[in-house]
Amino acid sequence: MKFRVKFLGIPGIRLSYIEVEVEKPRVREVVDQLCKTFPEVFPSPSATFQRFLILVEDQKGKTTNIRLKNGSDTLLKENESLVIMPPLTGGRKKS
Amino acid sequence: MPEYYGYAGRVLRIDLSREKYHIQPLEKELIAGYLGGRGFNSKRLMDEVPGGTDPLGPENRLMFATGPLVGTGFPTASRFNVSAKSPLTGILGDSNAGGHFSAEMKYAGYDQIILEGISKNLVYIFIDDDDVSLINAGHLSGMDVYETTKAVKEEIGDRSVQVCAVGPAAENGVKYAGVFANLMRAAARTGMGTVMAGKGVKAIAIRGSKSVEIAHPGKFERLVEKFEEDVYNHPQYWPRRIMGTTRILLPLNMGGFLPTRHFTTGVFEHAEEVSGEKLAKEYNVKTRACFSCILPCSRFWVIKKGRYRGKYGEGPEYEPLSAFTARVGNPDVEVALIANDMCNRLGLDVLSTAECISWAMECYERGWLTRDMADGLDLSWGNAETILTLIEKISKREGFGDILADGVKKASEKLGFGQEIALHVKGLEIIQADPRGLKGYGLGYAVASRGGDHLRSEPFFELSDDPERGKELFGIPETALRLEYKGKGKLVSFFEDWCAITDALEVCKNVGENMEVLPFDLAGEVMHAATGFKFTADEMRRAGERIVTVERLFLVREGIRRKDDTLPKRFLEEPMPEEAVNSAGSIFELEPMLNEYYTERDWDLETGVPSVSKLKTLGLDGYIEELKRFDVPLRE
Ligand code: SF4
Repeated sequence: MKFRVKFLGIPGIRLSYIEVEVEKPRVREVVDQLCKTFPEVFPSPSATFQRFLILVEDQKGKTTNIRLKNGSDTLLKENESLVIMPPLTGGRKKS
Repeated sequence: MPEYYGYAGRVLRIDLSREKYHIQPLEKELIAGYLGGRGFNSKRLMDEVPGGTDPLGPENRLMFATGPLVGTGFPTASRFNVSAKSPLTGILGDSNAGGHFSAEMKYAGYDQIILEGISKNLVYIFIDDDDVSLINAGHLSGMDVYETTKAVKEEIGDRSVQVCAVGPAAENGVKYAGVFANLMRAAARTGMGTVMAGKGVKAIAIRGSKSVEIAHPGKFERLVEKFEEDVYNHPQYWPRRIMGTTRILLPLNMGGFLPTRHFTTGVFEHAEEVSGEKLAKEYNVKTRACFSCILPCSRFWVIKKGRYRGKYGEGPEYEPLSAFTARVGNPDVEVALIANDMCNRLGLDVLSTAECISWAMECYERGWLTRDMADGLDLSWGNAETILTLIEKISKREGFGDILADGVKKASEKLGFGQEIALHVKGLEIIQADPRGLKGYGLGYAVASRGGDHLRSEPFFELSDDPERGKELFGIPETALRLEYKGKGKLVSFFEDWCAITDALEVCKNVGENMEVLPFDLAGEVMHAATGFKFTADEMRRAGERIVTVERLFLVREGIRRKDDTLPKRFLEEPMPEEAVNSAGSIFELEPMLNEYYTERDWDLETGVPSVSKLKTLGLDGYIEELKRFDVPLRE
């Protein structure tokens, strides 16, 4: 399945989005792919989940933080995309 | 052994009426209670500016304060606060800026500079360590901020002297004119430039040769290293370095709370074209930092082609960028660059200016304001020529600009329409984030001690979408959700105290607070290492609360009560439109949030006045008699 991943304000990525093909429609699979495509920006899935804000966006533009869904296990529906951006909040590593 | 570590230990008072100055020692009680910077200014304003004072009269004081970490090399400790009673709002006026002026103040040996009285002639003040001269500035009259700064440096014959100046807007009595250091580091909110020009001062130039002593250098160095590491490794480091605060324009648009066409909606169809990303790609040429900052977030831009070819400037931050695009309905990012630069040069507050213009545009679109009433200008949304013409007219108080120069509240009163859509709190024009999409921020605007502004609290935690953490930190999961109102009283009071100590230490809030790298405990440790005064996390928080409370006392003495802690009707009654998908249908639930906030603060639910027991706990009960003289209702 193909999903669109939109980038907002991520240094090192000049594209506004890419299409990612995955077997299972799970956020983790998409992020795995991202890490393979942009290893310098997204060195590992765990670092990506920790350092970036990841949202699921539906067709109407309604977004939900994956944290309020099932985290990395969140399943994506057809026509949904991911939005990934640096955190808007403090974003310091939790101790 | 020096008497003070961290602090310069001295306060400079300049009596402009008598053309005299004297230097007094910094009071140690002030340090213990108020830490520095904003804390010093707020406390002294309460003590020295009597209730009912005319903001433009000789009794008002204009105070510049720096903090104990400034000049030590502590990263981002570069800020200063400028405070006085505000001519725009009639309550506490205060604004904060970065650059290099603050550090030079310390090197000249001052923690605070206080201007009293009014000068007979326009002067600039040259502070050269212990020598203070008032120099005739008649020849600088009418010059913009850039020209003034250059002229003063040339006259002194030293390019490294630090200058803060006011522009023609301040000289012409525009009520929201700012003080500008390093050309465009703007302490622009609440009309502090208006007060400075009203005192007959065009600029302050400062040069110092002293040093700042550190109480525990080894500990201090370790803390600086840790702080630097936290900043460099922070996920926001590079985004901020490349785009500054403009990085948030697109996320706000996506969230549906980017104020567009005077807050009639929360999404701007041209957001991509006016974004921080667009600036970074096409206009920015280099970055610049404030004194001792490791995160150079300011950007120089150049327009390389088209009708503005060759124009250049610094900034803009998110606020002016979105104010001169989305708020006024303008899709042309270059117009926003020019508008921001004009405000910097003329010495205007961008937010108040943009609110006045966008308010006039909405009045025009509704048919309340006609071309005839507005000097023949076409005030349709986004009209670039009108935006730039109005900035000029406001700064000169010319024609329709004269009406807007008193701020949106007064303009709407004078014209007799549009009061319900004049977007201000307590007379201060509100900032660029729609409170219907950010409930904690909205509460922050309603209760902020200087009026409708976010920088008193910045409760960014509500954007975290992390209810578990909300429960852990504040006992209320909803604190982590921006559209919920529950828990926001608690959240805002916590963040207000945090902002207060960050301003008191004069560390940059973009970093210390926003990036969450200077919490109360670390701030206390750094304070101890630098100054030798011991502060626990609780004591730091208490100092923050004391600063917020003394500011509240200044306000209640001027007659501010619960009814004034409110937001414009639009936010309380008009739900966000459907197109603002991620905030659609949301309105602002003021009353329950205020109740919670007052309860948290121990302020009276009916009046909004701090209780006597709270005043006692904070050591502010010495003000009780003064409050009684002004008929402030007090309860135990
Ligand atoms: S982060 Fe930006 S505004 Fe803050 S001190 Fe550094 S350069 Fe100045």
